[in-house]
Amino acid sequence: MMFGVTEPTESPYKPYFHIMIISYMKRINMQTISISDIQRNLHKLDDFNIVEIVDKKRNQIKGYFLDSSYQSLIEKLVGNKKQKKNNLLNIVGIVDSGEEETRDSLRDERLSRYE
Amino acid sequence: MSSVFLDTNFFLDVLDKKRERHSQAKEVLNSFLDNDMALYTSSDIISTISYFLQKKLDLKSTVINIDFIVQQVSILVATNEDFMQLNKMILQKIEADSSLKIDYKDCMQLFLASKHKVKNILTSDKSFCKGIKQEYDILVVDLDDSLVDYR
Repeated sequence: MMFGVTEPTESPYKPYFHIMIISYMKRINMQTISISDIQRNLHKLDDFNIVEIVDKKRNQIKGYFLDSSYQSLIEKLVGNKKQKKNNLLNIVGIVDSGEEETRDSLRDERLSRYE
Repeated sequence: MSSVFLDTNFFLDVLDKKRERHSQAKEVLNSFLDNDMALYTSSDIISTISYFLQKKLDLKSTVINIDFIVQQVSILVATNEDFMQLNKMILQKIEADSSLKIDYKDCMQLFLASKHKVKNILTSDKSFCKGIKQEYDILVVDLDDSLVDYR
């Protein structure tokens, strides 16, 4: 596995624009370094704001490393995700019927309306 | 990331607190969310769930709860091409075995899940698409299976 690392940029855009232009940055400025190089020189990560992690063998993008300047954006995304999770849990036990209806019985019931 | 397609009965078990398997379904739903599993269902199942909810609740509550579901669960929809492909495959199966008994609607759920590369289908139907599920690279699981059994 290798890392494809984008060049550091001084962007006037807000963080979420960085996310949108990843592929653009990759096309114009991209360096590739190995995991072992990063292990030996962790400080190299400080120079980059987005690191694309690529499984070269399978030619798959495995994920991204984002600089800590993106922290607020990430926290917002995580917060949104948690909110959605909480929303789904709102459906738990919303009905208090106890009738053991099934997919099939509901289907039959719906169909009987057209008889 | 693991993924699971949710069948109608799972939603019924989650929604209705008096059902026998409610606690179990609630626990499983929590596990899915805690493990960031990608959740899927079909528009057909949402339609059945809305019918069930509207029998028990008013329209506003029905809409709100359907909204909670669709915010988190991806809804799969069949195209004309999907139906044609599925029909062809079922007809071939019947040709080979005329006694084959399968539920067409279930097969469409299986087909959709497979098309979208969903790894597991959660259903309480033990004979779900028996005779046809081996055509698809998808694991059929039920509420009794632990998460480690999932792909």
